[in-house]
Amino acid sequence: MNKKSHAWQGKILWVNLTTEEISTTPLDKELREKFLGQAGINAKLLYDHLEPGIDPLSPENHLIFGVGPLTGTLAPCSGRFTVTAKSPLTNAFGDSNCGGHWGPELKYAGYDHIVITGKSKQPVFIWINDDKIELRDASKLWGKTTNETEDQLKEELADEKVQVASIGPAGENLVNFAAIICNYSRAAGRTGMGAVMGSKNLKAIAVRGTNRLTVAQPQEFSATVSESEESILADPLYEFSSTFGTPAIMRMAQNLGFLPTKNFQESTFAGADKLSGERLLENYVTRQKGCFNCPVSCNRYYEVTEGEYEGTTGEGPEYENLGAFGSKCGNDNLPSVLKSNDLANKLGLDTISTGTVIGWAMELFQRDILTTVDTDGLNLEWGNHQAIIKLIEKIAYREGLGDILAYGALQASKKIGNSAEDYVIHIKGMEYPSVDVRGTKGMALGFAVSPRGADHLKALPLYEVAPEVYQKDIKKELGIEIGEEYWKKYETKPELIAWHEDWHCIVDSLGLCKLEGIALKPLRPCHFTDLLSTATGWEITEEELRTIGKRIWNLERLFNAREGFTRQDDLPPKRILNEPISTGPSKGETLDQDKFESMLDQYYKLRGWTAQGIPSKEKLEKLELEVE
Amino acid sequence: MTVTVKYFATFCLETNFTQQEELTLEENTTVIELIQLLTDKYGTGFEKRLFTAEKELNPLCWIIVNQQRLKKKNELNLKLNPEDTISFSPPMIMGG
Repeated sequence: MNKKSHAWQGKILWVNLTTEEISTTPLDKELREKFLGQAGINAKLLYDHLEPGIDPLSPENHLIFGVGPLTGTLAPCSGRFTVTAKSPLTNAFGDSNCGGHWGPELKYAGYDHIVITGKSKQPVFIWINDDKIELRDASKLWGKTTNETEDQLKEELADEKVQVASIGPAGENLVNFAAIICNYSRAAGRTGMGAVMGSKNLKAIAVRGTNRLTVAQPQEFSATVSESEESILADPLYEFSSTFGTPAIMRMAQNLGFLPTKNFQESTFAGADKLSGERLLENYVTRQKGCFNCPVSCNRYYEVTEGEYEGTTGEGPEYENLGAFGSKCGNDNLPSVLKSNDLANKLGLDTISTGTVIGWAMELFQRDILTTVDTDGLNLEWGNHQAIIKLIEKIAYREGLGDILAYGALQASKKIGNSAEDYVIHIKGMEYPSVDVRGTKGMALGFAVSPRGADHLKALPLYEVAPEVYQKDIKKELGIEIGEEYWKKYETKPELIAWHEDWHCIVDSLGLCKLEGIALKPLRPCHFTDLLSTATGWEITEEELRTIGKRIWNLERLFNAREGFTRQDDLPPKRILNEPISTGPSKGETLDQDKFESMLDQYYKLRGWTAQGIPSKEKLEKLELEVE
Repeated sequence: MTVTVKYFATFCLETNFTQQEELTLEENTTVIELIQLLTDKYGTGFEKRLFTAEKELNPLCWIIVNQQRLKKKNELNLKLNPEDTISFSPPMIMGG
């Protein structure tokens, strides 16, 4: 690799909020070569600097923001950044990836990573204006929503181009699944990074950058960018992604019988057609919205022009939001879901955990474990959308039942007692996304072994459900022959999942969007090596790049092992294991515990981990992963 | 006889956002005859999504009768039965 760090800016910014010390250190060559950037280097910095066993909401936690070598370049879909810390929701490794425009701006300001430690005495925001860094008073911003915060900071700093990542009341009130929001609706949502930010009295990070970003081989890089864009535009799913975004998955999930309904009690929802991406586009979408340098622009603006929720505007929602506030809560009122999505973004909540926690509370109400005495009179009957919206507010402001739900379903279940825990659908304390994995065995494995808990994004094996489209690619890349209804099978899933995890570690560390890289196919490993090589001047093979992905994956696993997590923490909850799907096209499908554990054994073996899921010494040596 | 026809995602762009409809067909209507009826109703864009330039079935479009996916052109001669459900969809995906 060249000594000059093209594509990377070569600088880590350190901010100690207790002492108000601000400094920078070089992003050294070894770190870049071994962990690439963004999610990978964030993980390494967290592992090296965090004291094991600390309270995630204490000043000792480190909150790390990172961008990748391709973030902010001409590479398509290169608007990503990652936030990493120990998660208050899971007490495990926490990170969350976000799009929009904040990441590129940080890069242009001259930084690859920000490490924030300690706790400010007063609410503050960090103002990064190229090499001028200030801690400024945020007392007047405290209590404001994320959109109000963004507007007021742009006004205070007198620059519309300032990019703002902020927390809302949920982060201030230490809701364990609080999000960090930028560009009004782009969320670093999962694992409670917003609560960590709130615990440090840090309201926002405003960034403006005007530095030049160079690449090593401009002409070659430009050619590779063109090839990558052509690949995205030629992809068979381009029209689908660009026109509908992920909401069109709603009716597909219904048709396959994988749509979690009423807290996973059912897997089809009678109201799915009313919540569909098609209905959203027909009646509410006003125009598309794209993240930085994205030719797909899968996000959308929406507006509700009549009825109870008239006047609601917002951005999104994704399929996951429709599932969370819709089918999981038995709610088929789409305008109310749009209102819930907008409210969650403004209050700074992870929509997936929020909707799933509310769905869980509704099941407790169904079973009389919670009554109106516990809910401050709220009727938590399935589909009561007014109650859903009220609960979102109560969670963010920690009022009444919301104060308990704010811990997340697993931690809350221990406070409620009375078998409430039996109905929590989680892994490691993080709530499941909107896929009934009893029907998709690979996704079940991916959710289970993700270091951050029940999580569809680390592995995201979309190949599993649409295999025919990618049949040749799967054979070429993984050597796996697929057959009819491949998703139902246990065989070959460890290989499928490990391959996706490794490459998604790379996508998340380069600074690209994974919906356009691997998961939906357009960008292949060859694109990543070509983009990286021409941007940085570092010649690297696909095998070498995948090894970096494996190293990052093992490091995140090691973090959790150091915190005491074992095989037991990789097991799905009772309802998912053994209980068959009760309704719809997938009726009768189960995730058999013996078969699942056998799949887990194979996965651990493939990974070079012990039977308890701990990376072996030999594996660590092979990956040149030096840890204490 | 009456059948249910469902349109997913990009197919809804052809049907002016009709997601699902009940159609009354003559007995023994085949799938290919249904496609012709729908092309007459919604325009040639509907048919174009289903077939390649070589008039082969487009592998990127799914035609599903009840729970059975039709993958070969000769399978379009399948005779429909009362209360069948026929779906037209891009490849099913999950997640996101």
